[in-house]
Amino acid sequence: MRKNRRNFGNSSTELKKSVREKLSDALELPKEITLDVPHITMVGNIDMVIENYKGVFEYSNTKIRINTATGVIKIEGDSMHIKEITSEEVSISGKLRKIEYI
Amino acid sequence: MLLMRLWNYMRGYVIIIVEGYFLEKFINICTHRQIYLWDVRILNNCAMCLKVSIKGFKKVRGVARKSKCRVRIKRKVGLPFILYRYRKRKALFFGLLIFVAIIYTLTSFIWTIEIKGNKIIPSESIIETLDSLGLYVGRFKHRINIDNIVTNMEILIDDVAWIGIAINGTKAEVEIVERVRAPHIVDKDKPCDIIANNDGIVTEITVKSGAAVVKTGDTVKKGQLLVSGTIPSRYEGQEPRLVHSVASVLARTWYEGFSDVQDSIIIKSKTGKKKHRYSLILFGKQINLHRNRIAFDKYEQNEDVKLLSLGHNLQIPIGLIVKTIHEINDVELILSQEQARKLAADTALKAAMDKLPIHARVERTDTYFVEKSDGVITANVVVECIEEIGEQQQM
Repeated sequence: MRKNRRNFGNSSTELKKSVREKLSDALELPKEITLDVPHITMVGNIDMVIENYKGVFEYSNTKIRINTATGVIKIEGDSMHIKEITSEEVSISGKLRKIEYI
Repeated sequence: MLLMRLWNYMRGYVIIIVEGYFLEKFINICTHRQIYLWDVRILNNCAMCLKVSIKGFKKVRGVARKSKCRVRIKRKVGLPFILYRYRKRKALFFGLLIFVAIIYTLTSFIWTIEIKGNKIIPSESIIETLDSLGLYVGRFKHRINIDNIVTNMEILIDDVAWIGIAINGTKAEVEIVERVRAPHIVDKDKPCDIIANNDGIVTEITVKSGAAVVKTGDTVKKGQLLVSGTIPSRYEGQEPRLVHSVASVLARTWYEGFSDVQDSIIIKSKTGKKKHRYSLILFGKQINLHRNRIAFDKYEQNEDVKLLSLGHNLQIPIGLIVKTIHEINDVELILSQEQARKLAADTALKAAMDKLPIHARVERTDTYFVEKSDGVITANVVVECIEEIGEQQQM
């Protein structure tokens, strides 16, 4: 039963996503809006902008965790700080070393 | 980002220190409530420093209470705080107001008039006419009726074909296109003669209509009749026929130029010593900043006028004249006979060539050296050329 449900859930989300994805592909709409996924821009390893994020989970000089619709993004680095933060985007600056989806 | 920083400075912001165990929660609530935060820096694991606008700071208190953080102001930055500090200094604001008012009034006058495009009409007469029509230095620029001036200028100055006036800042730019006068031509259906406009020997005469009075090889004087438009009738007792003469009369003409042969010439050379003189210009008046006389015996000076201007068009009637004075040493150069003669011949040739009409074709040039009674030798250059000398004249 449990297994079934999981299967069912997976297939349904997959189906749903694929329909949305197809639609956005067909209409050439930006995916971060139609699929509600973050849009990440990086400048070398010194600057990073995450648009369409949900919230800040953890914030320190060496480790930042940011919640998004696709999961938590973990950023590790040195002397990092938030340059700007609004409800739409967060801009991180510093020496970035590692970006990870968890 | 400089623009952004400047904008933030104008709006004013507060640098605050947030202390507490739920700093992330503080940030999240702030973003939720549309409070813009920037330069968020962690100080240690329970304190951070960030910047927030004045408007945002008012909302921050509530957020702090909710996230159980303590907020204290580290520094207030920006124009609103400075203005608040100086709010009681009325003279300062009054001065600021006066400053703006003075700048505004000074820039609403015409300070310079620039005239472009005139070759025949002297600029002075244009300025005079503009003056009488109400465009002059010191005129309030909002009261100038450009259309009216343009129309009247075209009526008052005959040689103006088109005039354009543009007021850029405190500068009035007057652009003029001069009328090109049509050459003097007698109407095709009116009878006319052809007369000589220069002395010479006729080398070729081609008559299309009219009766030739002179023939090739004749010497003619200026004003002499060349081709007559009055053709006598072949029959006795009939009125002569009048025609519109058309002919080409080419003649050999001469132009002379003279120059004395000099044994030596004086060359002015700069010794390298120079001095600067400064004078101020205030509203068209010149004020010398130096009083003592120039120490050089012989000198040459050039002026450099520097007017203050804001941008390209807004000229302020305050400026500086820099006169650079160069000391000059006269060096006498003794010329050999050959050199002296050549120099004189060149000068004479140039003088002769200046007299030549544009359409004349140079045939040959001759140089003679004549010794005058006082012993001075003069170079005499004769330029021989072929030119059209016929000119129509109405009867």
